[in-house]
Amino acid sequence: MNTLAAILWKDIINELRTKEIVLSMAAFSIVLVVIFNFSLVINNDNIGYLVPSLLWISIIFVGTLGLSRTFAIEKENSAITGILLSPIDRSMLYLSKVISNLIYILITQFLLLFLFVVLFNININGEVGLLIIVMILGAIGFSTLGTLFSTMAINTKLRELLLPVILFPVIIPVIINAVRATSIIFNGGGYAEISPYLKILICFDIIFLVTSALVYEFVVEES
Amino acid sequence: MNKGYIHIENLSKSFGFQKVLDSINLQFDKGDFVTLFGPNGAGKTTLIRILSTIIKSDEGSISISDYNIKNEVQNIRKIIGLLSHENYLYQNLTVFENLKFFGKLYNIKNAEESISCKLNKIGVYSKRNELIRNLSSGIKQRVSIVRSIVHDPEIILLDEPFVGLDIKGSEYLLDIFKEFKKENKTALVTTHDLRLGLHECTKVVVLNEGQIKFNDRVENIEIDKFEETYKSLIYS
Repeated sequence: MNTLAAILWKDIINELRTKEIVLSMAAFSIVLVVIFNFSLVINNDNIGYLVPSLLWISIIFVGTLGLSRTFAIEKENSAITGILLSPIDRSMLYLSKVISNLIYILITQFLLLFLFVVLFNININGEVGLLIIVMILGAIGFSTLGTLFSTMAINTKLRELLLPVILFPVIIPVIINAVRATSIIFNGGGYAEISPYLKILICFDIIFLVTSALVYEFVVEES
Repeated sequence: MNKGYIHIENLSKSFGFQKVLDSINLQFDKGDFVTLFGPNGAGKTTLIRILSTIIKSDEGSISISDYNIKNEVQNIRKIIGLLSHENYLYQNLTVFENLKFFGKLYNIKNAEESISCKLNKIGVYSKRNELIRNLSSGIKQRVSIVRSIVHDPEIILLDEPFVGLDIKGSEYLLDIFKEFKKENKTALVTTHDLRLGLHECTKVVVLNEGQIKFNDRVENIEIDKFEETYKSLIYS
């Protein structure tokens, strides 16, 4: 746990000093929502179906940008090699990276949600708690898998291009269920309607977390 | 046959079609201070990187302190320190924060005291609160030297440690070498500087085109004539 805390502390301190990950993600979020707002005709008939899709598309685009940046910092001066030289459990490195990526994604996710709610005049019908749970479960799925794939892409020349190409197809189950659950909440549904989607999201989060932690050693050692 | 503290047998490594190390056999005892000479592209860095566990060999076996590099790699990592061409430091952390971070990865006790002492020895204690990105390359190299020995490793691998160091920095490093020898630690140093390389070493190895061309203890070498010997080995 000491190792996990040390790596997490290092990532957070680094981000607090530079603010480059969260700021770039936030700026991209604002641009995306403003473009959607000007380019789409959203009315009461389609708001409950269109906005959840746009919200999650924005989350995966912005999240991918953040994932690329987190590992770009590790590549500077080959600092990650310094970590890999030490006898730490590679799954601890993975977990710490998942947590730091999760923090960055959650921050921008709630910024995106706020922008969508304000600009598209969405009524969440008091189901804020449920929506937060869906957002967190979606973010966990994205960061568990995103951390693994961004580590794979770290040493490739086209890593910014490669990451979405390998990540998006695999993350589809999480995104589909998150979009459906969000859509139900935006259309006035409650826990009973979204509980199947929540269960699927929890299952995928656990599967992605466990399998990624198990294979991370082989991925990071070869990268 | 008695196995050495570091035992390398039939080690080979290729990158693509290029064979960088070709059936290397080497053996070092505990306390050996080995200088590895060789021209650019001889395979020195590759050998160091394989020993440090960063990359894997294609063929051959390595045992370090009776640990096999293939299945006891974590035990080897605990006792090895590496100084490489890259400094492995985080740009936006201070000198002290970087070293404390790497110290935590090795679970070292009394980290602050130990790091301060090492920073003093290499002459950068006054820079401890400065961000790495604001330091000159020579100072970064000194900090990187402390990073490589932050956990007091039994074996230290130094890949061209004198690069970027000024006269004072080189003197500090030679003092650290003397301390290693006093503590009976094992070191493997690569360098192109024959004078500095022969300064503290007990054993000399010359590597060229991935093969061992020379391997002998320093007492068997005529130091004054070594430059000629070296040239004949690598340019013949």
